[in-house]
Amino acid sequence: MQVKPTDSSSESASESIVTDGSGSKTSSFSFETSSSNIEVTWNERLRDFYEEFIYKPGLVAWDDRRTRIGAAIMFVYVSMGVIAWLGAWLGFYPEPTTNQAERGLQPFQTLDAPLGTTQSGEDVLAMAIHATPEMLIMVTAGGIFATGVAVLTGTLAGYKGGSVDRAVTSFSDVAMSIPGLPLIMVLAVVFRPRNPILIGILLTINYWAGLGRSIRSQVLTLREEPYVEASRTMGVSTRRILTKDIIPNLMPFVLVNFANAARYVVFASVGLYYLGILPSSVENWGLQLENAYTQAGALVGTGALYQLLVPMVSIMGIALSLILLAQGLDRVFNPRVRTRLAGESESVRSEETEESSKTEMMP
Amino acid sequence: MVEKATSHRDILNRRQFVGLVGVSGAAALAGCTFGNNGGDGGGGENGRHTSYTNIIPKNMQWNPSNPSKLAEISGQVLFDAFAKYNFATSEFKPYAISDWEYGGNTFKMTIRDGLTWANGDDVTSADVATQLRIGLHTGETYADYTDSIETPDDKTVVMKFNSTINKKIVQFQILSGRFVRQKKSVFGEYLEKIKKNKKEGIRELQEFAWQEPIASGPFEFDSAGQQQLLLTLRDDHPDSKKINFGEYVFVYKDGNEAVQQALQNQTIDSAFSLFMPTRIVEELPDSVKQIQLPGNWGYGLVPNHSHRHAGDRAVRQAIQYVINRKQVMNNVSADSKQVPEIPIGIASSNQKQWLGDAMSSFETYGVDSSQTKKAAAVLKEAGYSKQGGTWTDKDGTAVKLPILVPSDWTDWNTATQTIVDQLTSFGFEATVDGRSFGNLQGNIWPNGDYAISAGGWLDGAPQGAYPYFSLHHQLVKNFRGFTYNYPAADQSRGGSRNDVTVPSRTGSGTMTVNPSKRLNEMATNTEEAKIKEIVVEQAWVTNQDLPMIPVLEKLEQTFLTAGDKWDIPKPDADVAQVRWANTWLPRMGEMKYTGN
Repeated sequence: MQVKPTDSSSESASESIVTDGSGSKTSSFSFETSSSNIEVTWNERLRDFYEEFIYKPGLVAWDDRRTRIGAAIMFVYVSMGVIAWLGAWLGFYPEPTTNQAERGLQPFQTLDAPLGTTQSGEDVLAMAIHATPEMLIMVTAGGIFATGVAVLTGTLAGYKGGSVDRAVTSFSDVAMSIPGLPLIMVLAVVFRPRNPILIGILLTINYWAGLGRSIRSQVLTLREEPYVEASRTMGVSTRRILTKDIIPNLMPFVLVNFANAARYVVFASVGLYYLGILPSSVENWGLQLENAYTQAGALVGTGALYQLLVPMVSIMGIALSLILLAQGLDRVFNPRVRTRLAGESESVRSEETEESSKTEMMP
Repeated sequence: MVEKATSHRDILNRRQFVGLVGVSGAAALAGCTFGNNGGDGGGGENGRHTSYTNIIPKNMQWNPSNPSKLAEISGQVLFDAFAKYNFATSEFKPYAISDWEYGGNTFKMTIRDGLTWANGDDVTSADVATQLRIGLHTGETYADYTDSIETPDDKTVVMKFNSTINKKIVQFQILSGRFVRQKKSVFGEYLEKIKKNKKEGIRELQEFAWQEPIASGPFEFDSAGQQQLLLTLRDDHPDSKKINFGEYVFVYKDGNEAVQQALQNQTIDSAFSLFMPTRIVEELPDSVKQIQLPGNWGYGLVPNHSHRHAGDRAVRQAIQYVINRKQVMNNVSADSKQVPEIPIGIASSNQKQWLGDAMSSFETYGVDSSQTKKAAAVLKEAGYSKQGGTWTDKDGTAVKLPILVPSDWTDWNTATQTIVDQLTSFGFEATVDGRSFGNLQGNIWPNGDYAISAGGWLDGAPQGAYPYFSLHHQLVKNFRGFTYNYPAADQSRGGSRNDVTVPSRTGSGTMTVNPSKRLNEMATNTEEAKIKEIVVEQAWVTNQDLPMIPVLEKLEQTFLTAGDKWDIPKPDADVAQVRWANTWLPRMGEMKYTGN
């Protein structure tokens, strides 16, 4: 292993240099460096990170059929997002506009508009595709905001306790008690947000509160764990305990809830666009649904039903993908399963071998 | 409240009732339900016409001076029209006012014999005069020229004017769209209050919600619940004998689509006005018939003349050049819309009649094409330039044109989206901005808080058929209170009735006119040549200055059920060419119940 001088900003410094004012240097003892004065390289750190946070979880995740299906569906949406993004820049799959094709075409009649057109001649597939990037941004922004604020408030309240806990808990109680939909409707009407990131945040404006309370209770149990106690005894800073000891152990819970929050953003945004509360100039599947219902009369007769089905399938697909991913991630963070699938537990492996050999031996 | 009339039927319908109490019971029920005229003898559910309303019946009120929750269509069944304008004959058919006499500066009206209120009182000249006198204080247009309203006897009302008034204007303003509905015994006290303290009296009048109206029409108020309004046939109306069904019901339907579905499923028998695209009309049952009428109004754009770009005539002309009106019409519904041949303040079907040979000198701005070259030329001449595909003004500011539209007005949204696409491909930064109608009408339009808004560019039927009203609507005072800040407009619309300067119609130089003064001259003139001269001149002003941007004109769609349930005339029959056939035909004996 290559040995590298420590930079002053490194948190795992093997020793710290102190000047006494006379210019002479003295070395002070550091608990962390007593066992080793060898520093790991960035490459090794990255490799460790990859191993711990990407490879192993990925292996476990990929072993679960639900995650595979969920990821495959999400890949389709990401591809749609890329097509729409490229389309906007390169004219690859153009944005929907009125009169881009013949009016009222049924699906599968022409390759120019494979899923048909509206009564204004807009390509229905283009409408679905070009709604995707904004939806993905909105979903990510909403999910990050909701889980981020929840983690921040939940860990702070749970770990610090006392007056900090009381203050943060009271704040989240207030946020939780405000009815979500009317609040969002009022804010949407006042601010008329058009930026998908803002819309995502707006939709989860008080969604974090319930999640924050759940995280707080998780933290209350984690803070009594021996390794956290040990860190406290050694005088490790609160910030470091939270970021290194507490939050990583919350990640399973957080990631599963991230997927749920994202699903909530999908449904909430579609609902608000459908109701005409969010501004109508942004492409969205909810707007497409609303247009199909109000302008094409998709529920009167069957002639325009396809205009309703395309956005419905889009919404169902992304919601299903998020549900499957959430369930798959739940498995990733189950330590027993994870260790077994990552091939680190001899006992489990031997149990499996025994079981399989028994099966093989059966007549 | 649950509707009384329906609730008992939910438990016990008429046939069950007959079975239980026998013939005498049935006779009692028929007598009770239909009054002395007896209906069809079928009674109950069989003798009922069901239509729709878009206001929750329990919240409705029938005071026409109070715009809040004012019942529109049921009011046309409960109250009698002064006269009915027929679009096929272009004439007024006498009704509650059986006769009228125009005398230049007087207008004498005679009330129909035998007309009574639902409480048994006669309809008298005092009732009609009370209503007209209230109008003098609440901004009715005839207030501008009416000196007095007199009642020489119980059946005669005479309006005296301060000068000679154009006969057509008097007829349209007094007779059209006016109903016998403000009974003196109910509204007289408000008139007295207004006389004592105008501001306070009008406030009280406009806050008065008349929720149990006294009818003057053939049906009277019975009950109003969350879902339906029940009206029952009177036995003392002059036309009751022509009506063979006992109940007229309005069920609450929220939105166009709900009504379309109800017609398709035949849960309602009629719809007075509805936007229905061709595809859905074609899918309706054969028994549902469509009657089309000129709307004399329709979708247009109302620019805010104080806006940096929409207020610039060059930008307005460029917009009008870029809009392909026929494409917009085809996207919305070619069957229920038409496009004006030239964009002016005169309804499409009247343009040739009024402009004659002068029509060729007017700018069409392209009926079925986007005339982008002409639009670009106009903009360049005014100092605009195109940078990076976007038009910018002299200061380098991009021309941003957000277009407000009521978010739940289906056809208007389609039209707006099409126009936005046309403007965007030309190089304007146009966007659709959908808001609730209530928000637009309550705050945004009156406050002038917009760049461009979708709005009606004509005055509406039937008076929209006469150029005075449509020109007045564009140049001086529009309805729905758009504060569009046009200099020639009324103060209440953000203007100051100023002069307007536009290019001369003769081809060189400019002409300066005062639209408000000229239209006033038209209103007080009886000389046809003079009237025509003013119409052509003011139409030219609207064509050049574009105070509003005309796009589409509506064909009203009324739906009636025929088949084995109702006997109705052919949709194009003269008698059906009125607003609205489902409330007028029963009075004429032309909508008979034939069901079992």
